[in-house]
Amino acid sequence: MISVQHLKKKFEKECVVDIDDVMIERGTIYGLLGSNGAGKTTLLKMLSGIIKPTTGTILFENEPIYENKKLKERLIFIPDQPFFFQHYSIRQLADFYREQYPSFDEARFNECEQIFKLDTKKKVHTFSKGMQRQVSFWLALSAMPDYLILDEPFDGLDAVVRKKIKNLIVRDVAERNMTVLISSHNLREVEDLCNYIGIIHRGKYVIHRDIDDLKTDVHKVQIAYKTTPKALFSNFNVLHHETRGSVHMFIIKGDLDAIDSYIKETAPILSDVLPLTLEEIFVYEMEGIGYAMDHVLV
Amino acid sequence: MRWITSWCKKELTKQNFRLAGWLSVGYFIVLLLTIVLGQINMLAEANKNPGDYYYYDNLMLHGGFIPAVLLFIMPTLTALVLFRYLHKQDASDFIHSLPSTRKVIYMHHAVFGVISILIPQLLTYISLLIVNQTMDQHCLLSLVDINNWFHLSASTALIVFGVSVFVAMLTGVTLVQLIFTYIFLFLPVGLTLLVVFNLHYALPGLSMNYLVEDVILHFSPLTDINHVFMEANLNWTKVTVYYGLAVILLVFSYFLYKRRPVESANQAIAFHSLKPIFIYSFTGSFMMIGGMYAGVFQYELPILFLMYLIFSIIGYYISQMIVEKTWRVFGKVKQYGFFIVGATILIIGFSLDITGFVHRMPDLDEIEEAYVIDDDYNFNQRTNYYGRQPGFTDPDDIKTIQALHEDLINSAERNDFINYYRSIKVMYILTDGSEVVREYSLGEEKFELFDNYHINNHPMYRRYSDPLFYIDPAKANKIEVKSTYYNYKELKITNRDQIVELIDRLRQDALSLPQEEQAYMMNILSIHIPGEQEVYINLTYDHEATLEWFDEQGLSEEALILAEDVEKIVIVPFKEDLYYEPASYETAFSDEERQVYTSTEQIDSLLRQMISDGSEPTYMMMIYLQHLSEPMMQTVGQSFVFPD
Repeated sequence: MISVQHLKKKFEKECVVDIDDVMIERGTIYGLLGSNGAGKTTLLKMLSGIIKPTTGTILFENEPIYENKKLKERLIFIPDQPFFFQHYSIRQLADFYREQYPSFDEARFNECEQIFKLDTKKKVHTFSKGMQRQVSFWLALSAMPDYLILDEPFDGLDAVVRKKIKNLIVRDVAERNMTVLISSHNLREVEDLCNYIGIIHRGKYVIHRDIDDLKTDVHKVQIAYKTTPKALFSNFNVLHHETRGSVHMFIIKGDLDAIDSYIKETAPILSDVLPLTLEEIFVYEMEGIGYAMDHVLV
Repeated sequence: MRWITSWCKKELTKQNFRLAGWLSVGYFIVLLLTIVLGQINMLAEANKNPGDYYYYDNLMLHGGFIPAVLLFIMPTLTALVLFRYLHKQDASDFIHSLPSTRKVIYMHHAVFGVISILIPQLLTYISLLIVNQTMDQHCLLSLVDINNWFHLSASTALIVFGVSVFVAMLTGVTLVQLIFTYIFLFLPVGLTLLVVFNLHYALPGLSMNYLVEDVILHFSPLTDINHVFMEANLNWTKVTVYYGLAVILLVFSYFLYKRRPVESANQAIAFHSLKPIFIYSFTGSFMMIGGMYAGVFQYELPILFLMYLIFSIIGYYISQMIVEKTWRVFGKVKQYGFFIVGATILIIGFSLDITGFVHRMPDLDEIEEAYVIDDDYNFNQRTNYYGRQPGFTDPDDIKTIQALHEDLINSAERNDFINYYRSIKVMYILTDGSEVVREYSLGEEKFELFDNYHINNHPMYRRYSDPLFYIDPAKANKIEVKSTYYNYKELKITNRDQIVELIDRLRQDALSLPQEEQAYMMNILSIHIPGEQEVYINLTYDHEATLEWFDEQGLSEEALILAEDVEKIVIVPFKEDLYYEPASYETAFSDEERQVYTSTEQIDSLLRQMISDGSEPTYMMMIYLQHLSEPMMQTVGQSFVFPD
């Protein structure tokens, strides 16, 4: 379990990350969303024990991550631009990882060779950008980490490889209860993978939600009346309300049964409760707390 | 051993070897080619000509300047490539995301650097030992020499490495690391030079040479290099200090490494709190460079202040550009405001001499010994080698010196030190053992001040100013008397008793010679002492006791050029366009214009007038020695009187 408390990071006088309290359970695939410059990378680097927080604590299983060799042996961070030592082949890099990470698994390494089909004797810097990214996943997954932290991981990967990597990640989560943190500025890219989403804006948390909860929790209601009752849905948490002619569109957060029975009570001439895409949910959720979605995510 | 194996990361070491190993290998090859091959060559030659003793005894000198320069380049490059990752954001993030503590990472890099510097030197050392064991038939080089070479090289290289690593921690830009490594190496000397130079304006009488030559030059291996290489004996204190400092720097760098923010890669100054310190000291240094510039070009005082202003502004903006890594810094003026206020307060403070430095003169009863020195360089050289000769202790003499000192204080101007090259130093040794040293630069006219006090006539002054009184006569193995022109006559005295007697006479004369310029004889006497500098004495007709001694020993004729040795002297008017060409002078004048003297008395009286009194030459004396066709040319000035 990862626990972040009162975390602040300042670069000179500018506060880049300011987070009160976030918990991430083991086995979660956590999507960290935010626009460019929101503080995602800084937060991930602090979570990886690279950068020291200005104040606050980051605990992995109740131990601080910074300068913690034992914990870092079980954690791998893949940055947005993968880094490799100059003139190293995949084989040589694997030797390096094997020494650094005691859990490095030879079988997994060989299995990945079958999946990625890259020449292990070739120098990594001769590969294309996308291939280099595959190498970084290959090495990271061979080290069998308990925590995998990925910064914008799918940039520059084609759909096929993307799928392969997602499958590998999901398998590790399912089999070994691996915890994964993925940052992205694109919700659609991670929504099929993550079961938890956090959105940060200007270093602060805007939303931190379980996707399944969200999907069962927020509903789109289209409804029309001969004479519209006053104070419609006034006892519910309405995120958004729109009127087109006599048709009202409500985005309501709350229990579906309660909404259904309320609708029956008011006897509309037309009513429809529709599911929302994840993106729609976020747009309305954030509107509800005063953020314009297109400012926060692109 | 287990802790080492658990500690040492083989793959990380491999990576370091890929980065810096080539430097180490290259360094070893150069050392092999210069020092070891040079030694083999030297020994081979020495074995061929065992009688010829003129061989280098200093290993550092093989291969010329190459090994010496490499001592400064190789460790810097090693530190540069090993800690390059700190200055690249992606590399820095990667290394610090690995499951290794900063301690382990730092140790791997620092220790690898030290080893990669030491191994080539160690291998060279071993090669030298083997070469010497197998080839040195004449014991040209002892084991001690080889040890010395190793310790000098190792300590110098390690301190350079230490400084470079230290700088690497302070910055996030590799180029800055490179430049500031050398700035830091030069800093102790450079900064002191700048401060002392600029203090001169404020504090007339400040003794710069005393500080610089005696103390500061040893502070930095860059400026100390010639001492390091040329000294026959290894200065163990220095080597120990270098080793110690290298260790301290590396340990200190470790603590900096632990505190160093990873995100400061690419920033010129890695620690936020260092930025103002950097800006102020850089601006201050530039301001002082402006002062030095004004001094070197001998500008007037108002221009000096203008230079201070201009250079401080330039320095300020350069420092801001370095810190901010952009040209657009011209809006930032607040810190310069603070600087200029601080600098003004300091300049006023020093100029008003709030500590009373300028007028400080110790009381008579505080003074144990006093010196007036007008040849600082030689005085220091001799004092360093032989120890100090006693100075003035008589209260009356000290009072005279204080009076002179008072005069010097009153006549001193702020920019004397840039206008005049000659200087007089007044040095008091106080009863508590401390020294008060003041140095005043003087123009020729002010030098009369010094002459007025007749201090340079005083036997005490002559004792501590003349090398004759420093040497040990019993150590001298040869005195040569040679002719000034041609090798007309030459005498070598090697008898120990004669040498001691002659030096005693020379000393008698040295104390009694008149202060005025004297007529030089055509003889130079040199005293040779093994391992020490020769002492040269221009004999004059006032060296009465010495000349008497030559007479007594019956050596005069053999050693000295006297009137009897001169066939004739021809005197003609001096003509500048003839240069000093004897042939031109011989043909340019008619017989009426030429005065020819042949009698011994006349010649003797003429020879006693060979004085350069400083006035414009009026006549040319052409001295024809017996058996020599070409005359010696000697001009005489206004004080010249024709003999009867």
